[in-house]
Amino acid sequence: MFDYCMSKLKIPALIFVLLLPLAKVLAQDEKEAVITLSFTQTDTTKTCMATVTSDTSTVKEKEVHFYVQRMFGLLPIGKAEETDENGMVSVDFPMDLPGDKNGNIIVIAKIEDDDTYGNVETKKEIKWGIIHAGEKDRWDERSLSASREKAPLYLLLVSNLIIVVIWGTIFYVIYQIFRIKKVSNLIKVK
Amino acid sequence: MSESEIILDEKRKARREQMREDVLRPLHKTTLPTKIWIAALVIICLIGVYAYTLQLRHGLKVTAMRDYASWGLYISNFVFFVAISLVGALISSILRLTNFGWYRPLTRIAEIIAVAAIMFAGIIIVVDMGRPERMFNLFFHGRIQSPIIWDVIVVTTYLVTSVLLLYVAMIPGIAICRNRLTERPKWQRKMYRILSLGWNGTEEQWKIMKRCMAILCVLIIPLAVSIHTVTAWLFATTLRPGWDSTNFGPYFVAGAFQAGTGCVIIAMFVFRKAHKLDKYITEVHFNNMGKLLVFLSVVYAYFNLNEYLIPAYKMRTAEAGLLNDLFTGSMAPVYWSVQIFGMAIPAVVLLFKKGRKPLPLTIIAVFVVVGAWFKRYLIVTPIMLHPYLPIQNVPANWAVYFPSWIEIAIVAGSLSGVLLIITIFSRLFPMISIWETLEGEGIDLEKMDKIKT
Amino acid sequence: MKDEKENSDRRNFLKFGLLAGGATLAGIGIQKNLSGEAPESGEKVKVLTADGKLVEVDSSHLQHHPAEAKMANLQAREGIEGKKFVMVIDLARCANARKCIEGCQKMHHKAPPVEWIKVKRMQDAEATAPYWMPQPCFHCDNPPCTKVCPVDATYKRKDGIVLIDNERCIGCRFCMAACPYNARSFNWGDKWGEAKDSTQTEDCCEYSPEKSFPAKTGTVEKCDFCPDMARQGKLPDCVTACPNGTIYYGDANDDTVSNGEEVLRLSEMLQKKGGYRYLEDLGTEPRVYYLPAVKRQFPFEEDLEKHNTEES
Repeated sequence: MFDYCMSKLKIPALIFVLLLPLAKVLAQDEKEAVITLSFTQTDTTKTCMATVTSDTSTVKEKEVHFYVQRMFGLLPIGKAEETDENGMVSVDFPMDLPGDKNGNIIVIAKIEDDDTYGNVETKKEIKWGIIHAGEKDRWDERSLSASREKAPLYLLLVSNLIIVVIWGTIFYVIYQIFRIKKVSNLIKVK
Repeated sequence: MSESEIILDEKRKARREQMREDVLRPLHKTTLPTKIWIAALVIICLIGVYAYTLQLRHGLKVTAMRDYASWGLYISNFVFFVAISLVGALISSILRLTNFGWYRPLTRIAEIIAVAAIMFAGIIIVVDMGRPERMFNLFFHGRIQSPIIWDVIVVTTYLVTSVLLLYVAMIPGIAICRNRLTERPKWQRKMYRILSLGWNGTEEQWKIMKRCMAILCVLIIPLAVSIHTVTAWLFATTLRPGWDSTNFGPYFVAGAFQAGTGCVIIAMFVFRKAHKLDKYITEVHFNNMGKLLVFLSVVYAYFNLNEYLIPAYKMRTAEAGLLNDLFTGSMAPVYWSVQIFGMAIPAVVLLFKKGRKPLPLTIIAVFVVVGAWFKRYLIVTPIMLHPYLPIQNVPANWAVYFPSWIEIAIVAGSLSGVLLIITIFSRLFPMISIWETLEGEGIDLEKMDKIKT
Repeated sequence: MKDEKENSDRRNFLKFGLLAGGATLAGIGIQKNLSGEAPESGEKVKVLTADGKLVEVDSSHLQHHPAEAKMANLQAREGIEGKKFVMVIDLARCANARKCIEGCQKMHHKAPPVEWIKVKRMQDAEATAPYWMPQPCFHCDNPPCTKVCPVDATYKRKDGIVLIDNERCIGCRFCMAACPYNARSFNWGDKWGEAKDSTQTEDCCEYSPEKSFPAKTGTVEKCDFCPDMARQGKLPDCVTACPNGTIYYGDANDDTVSNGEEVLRLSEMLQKKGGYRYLEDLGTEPRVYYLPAVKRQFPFEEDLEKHNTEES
């Protein structure tokens, strides 16, 4: 009996074992969409454009949000707008947004909580940020509120001068006092 | 030498001999009242030390200081000690350089008060630290931009200079002790021998000694002015209403001279009685010290007027709370007592000759010193209880300040410590500078010794 | 004879099948291991790299929790590179919930009455409306406190934060006297203001000025703008604990601040909503801006409860 079952099952079992991974890949409930970002720049404007596609066909009338990646969250850029017939939507980029020390910023375009496509996101880095590095940092300068190595020069000069002069005099006086003793020793010898 | 010169010389020698005997007589024996006095001071000091061990064990929470009144009795006591230590420079140096000869018997008293006070100023400031074992960070990591570092530098320098000034002027006196106090214990005689540096009154020794005195006297005046100016700047460099005043430096220095003078008068009175020095500390000296005290009180009153009347005229919001508190509020009794007893009464009563007799003058001097102590308290803590932002949502004891018994014990211990140093000093060393006094009378010991040899 | 051969054939085939299937699965497993991927926990953590970039990594890749990482003293004095931390407090939103205070106390293991951020009832003039004002340390750009410290224990960093090195502080309290905003607190004694459930002792864990923990008796403490949280890309506790989103925190170099939900441009906020700094004319240049209490979200209500009536 057992032999009979096993002989009947072995081929489907083998097929099942070999085809399992493939089945996993093919099982999908949602459709996939992809956003591609492109950037154009003129003298006075910066524009960021997103194109939404799904399986080589464009997706229209979907709301796309634009963000810039910041330390504590995503800074929204412009208003969220819907894609047109060509699946494209663009947003005006602010001219004065700061970037990291090389001027790079990461722009993110998202479709959020869509019925068909769920959450779709794409990121791209671009050198559109204003660079702040290279400006002189006031904390490299000498000041009264800085650490001890960065004390103002005038303060160091005046204080050390006063200390040297006064303590020099004090040491001179102490030396003179010892001379009194030395003189008295000489007299004793006499 | 002619005959008249010989007679004059004999008179001078007799005067010198008399003076040496009188000044050294108290050092031969310690009387019972003195012993009781020393014992009492030692007991108070020991209570203070015990209170400090409690503070070390439990932290500064044993004081009444909290986040708002974060500076209390220790700091105001520190300011008081720095104040009275200026008198050494005033009597020994300023009066000397202005040729007021009558001060001369008082130099030793003034100098020992200055040294004792500045020593305990350094001690009380360590008591106030939250982490005294990290004290040496001040030297390893000190920031020259900080007023506390300025204070540490100036106080140390002033201490060293004051000790030198006290010591150098005392060398001839120690030599006399070495020669005459032969019945004292061995350690004491050894101490005289070492400290007198083999002084014999030779020409060269006098020359060296007088040169040192001249240098030190010139050096100590700017130092004395600096220590109290820098201490005033501990408050004036902050942005707090009540401390944010351009007047603070001169205001503090003027008050310091006045308080120190009061201390010297009290000490004069005590030593005159205890050591029977009526011939040397005479009513003339009291009279002159009285005049000095009047002058200093008037100057101090002038600075007080500037400090309190002008902000009160404007009544800026930030300062109004504080000023109302001082003039009519919770601090009014202390404030007005200090102003009247510590300043107004001395300025008026001492204008009259009767007020400058020894006993009335000493009583007034007590008012001045006690008033000075409370005045320093009024400068420190009430300002901290009137900050810019309102004090809200804190425990009741955070919004007021009355010192705890540990603070009182430690402060009392420090005050007795100062008195103890002065008393013990007076048991070991002459309280009048003989050579300086005689110099004022026209008897130049340098010349006399020269003639001798 | 034939039966036996059929049986052995079947057995051989089964064995071969199982072997092949097993080998396939094993092969997949071995391949995954060879590619160097550790089994991922799936939890992502934001970490700040040494050059100021924020990256997300799986938490299994971290050696140990960043908050307990040993911070070299030099690193704590230099600050986080390329950042200039700033805070904006919208007074139109503060309703005296005091959750910022609770959040801060929990984060730093403090208990009432010790408060590093305070909420004050302010009223500028008799005829003007009262309002609630949360007040942390302002981390001033011209700090009166760092000027007066005698031992360099409190210092201003390049990222704008003013920190205290509690292992150097001598407890002189000059900085407390110098601060016109009373932003600083003192640790008056053993276990002062310590949360009841805290297990901390002075040496329970590695001390870092960026954590301001463990507390050291006899030294000064204050709001530290939570730089240890910033290194993990997290907002300070006072910001996230507020139910009304009153406090915004961010990087002025990025021109962005966030209260945990909204992310806004700093310059826009300050210019469009009339931002100002408290007691500007003292010249301390605070890094905390206030937005005036106009168009309030809630009507002002007096606080009927008494807080912090006892010392802990």
